[in-house]
Amino acid sequence: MWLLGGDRESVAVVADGEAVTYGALGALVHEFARRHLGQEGARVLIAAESDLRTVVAYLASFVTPTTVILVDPLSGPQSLTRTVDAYEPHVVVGVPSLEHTRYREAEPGHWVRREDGATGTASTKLILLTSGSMGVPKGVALDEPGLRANALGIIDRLELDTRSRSITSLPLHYAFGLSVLHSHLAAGGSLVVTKERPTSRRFWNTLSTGGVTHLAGVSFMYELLQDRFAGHWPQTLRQLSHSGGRLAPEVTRRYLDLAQRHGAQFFLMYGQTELMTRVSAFDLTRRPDKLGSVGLPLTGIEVACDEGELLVRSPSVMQGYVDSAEAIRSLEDGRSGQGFHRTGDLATIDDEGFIWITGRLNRTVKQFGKRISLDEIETYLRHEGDVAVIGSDSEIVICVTGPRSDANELITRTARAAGLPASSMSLASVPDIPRTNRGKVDYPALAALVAARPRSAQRVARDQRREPA
Amino acid sequence: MTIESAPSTDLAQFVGSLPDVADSAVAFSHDRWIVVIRSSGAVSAVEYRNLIWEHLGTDTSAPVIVMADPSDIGEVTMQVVEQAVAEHRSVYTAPHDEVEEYVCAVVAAAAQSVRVGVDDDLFDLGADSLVLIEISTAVFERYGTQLDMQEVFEAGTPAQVARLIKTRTAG
Repeated sequence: MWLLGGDRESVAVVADGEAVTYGALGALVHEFARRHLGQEGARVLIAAESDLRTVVAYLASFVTPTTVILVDPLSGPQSLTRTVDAYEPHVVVGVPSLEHTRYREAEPGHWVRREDGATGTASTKLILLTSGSMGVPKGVALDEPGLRANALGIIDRLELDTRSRSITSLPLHYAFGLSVLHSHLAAGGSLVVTKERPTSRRFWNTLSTGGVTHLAGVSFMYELLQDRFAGHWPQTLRQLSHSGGRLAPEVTRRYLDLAQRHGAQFFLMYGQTELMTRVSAFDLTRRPDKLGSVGLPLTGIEVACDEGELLVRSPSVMQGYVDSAEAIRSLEDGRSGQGFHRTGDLATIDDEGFIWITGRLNRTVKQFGKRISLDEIETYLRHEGDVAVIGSDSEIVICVTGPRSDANELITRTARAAGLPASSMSLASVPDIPRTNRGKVDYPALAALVAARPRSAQRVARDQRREPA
Repeated sequence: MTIESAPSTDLAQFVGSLPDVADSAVAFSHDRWIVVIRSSGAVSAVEYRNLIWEHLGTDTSAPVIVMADPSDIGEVTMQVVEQAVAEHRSVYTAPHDEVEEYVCAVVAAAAQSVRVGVDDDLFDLGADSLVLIEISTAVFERYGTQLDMQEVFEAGTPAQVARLIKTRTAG
């Protein structure tokens, strides 16, 4: 199996300080598949905690004709139930409690559907959920050849091999995080599996002593840990990779400098769950003149621009969106088309083929590596009167007409519902919400109104502070 | 001495059972427990402090933790604590005012810690993005002060977060 790419004797996973060889991991995987997944294939839902159990259950779905759905282990019971109802998995793994009459707990944290629905092999191997915490989950269906092609593309660009070792710095239900597992195990390298997050001392101890060569992160991680990287560069670290939204140029420059000083590479990447997941990447230390770009497409991927929108033709493009078990079954075998996938991102491609992301076509922004739909926030606020929401990767602005006495309460409530810090939201009072003659909100005009309004003292103070010293 | 010997054995046993503890020593001095722990460093002093405090009951004084090799230390006294570098010890400091109290409570709830002192390091407490988001939002909710996650993280301790709030609300 391609995800067990190393020799039997070499280390595949290090979990809780314990090394598991490819031989041992393979045995665990086949044992899990035999006991829980059966011959004819099942749908399995995994609460993707960064632990050995998740890795074993996930890999087991690749040795049987199984469709695996990865969900955020921190998503609450309501959201879990909704996902279970939508996809009707036969097995649910890694969930301490599941209040659902159709499921019984076969082993601790391991649930089995009482009466089996139709099984039947589906061509879909993996479903990742893309939606933010506010909306109905939107499942992206991916097939195995696509997953494999993307892993190979990453191995090729990052020159990963059996000596490469990464760490679960990103959650495994997140496409970028999962691609780290795919590429390192397919290359015969290894993965340190830890539940600790990068902003903790425990994580750094593991990173510094665990022989890690590759570290992946989103902007949030790099922004917060600048001083730590500068003062405590982990000795074995040879590669950094970044993706998941814009990284400020001054922060990028700082890491370029750090990487160069430590003889390491710094890969800037672009990807999308719908394209599982990586599209382009380059090592900034080799081409510092391309700072701000997201690099060249991976081998086998073709890009183009249509009226400014980035189009991608990739062997890893999704089969389509699926919102139910029925939708998985009725997916056409094969992909949504051999044509170009519209990314919704605005980009330019320079004469050397480097991609530069310049903005977004649709109404989503990316914060903390997470896709946030401005329309979903607007829907959440629909009972608040005349409200419209605009935003960028750095700030979301709730626009209201006239003054509001409950401004802080509104921001707090919306931030909590969206799972964002209150600091990424602000409220703007405008004379009225401009609309087109068809009655829709005229967002460009609204953005211009907001930009023209006098800024509050607090905002100005914040922005001044952020200027580089 | 005979009164203390029984709980002392108890506590020593409990400390020995905690994750990553290779060797340990305990002593009772000036109304509180001093615990010396040798480990690989995977668990921070503040995490040990809270685990032991929870075991003793948080209505008692907080134990003091020193990360050191007990065999390098003669008698376990407060002097040992005072000589340890800040990174290798954890001494609980209670909040001094209402803002500090609020911040400590918010951090404790978000980081699922039994109790957080004003000088406890967020990095040691394992403050991930969810914890930082909650601190940012809870501070805004109470004081209307917008602190972004980088500011909270770089402030590093509840005392420093509280200081930021006071500076902003004063200005």
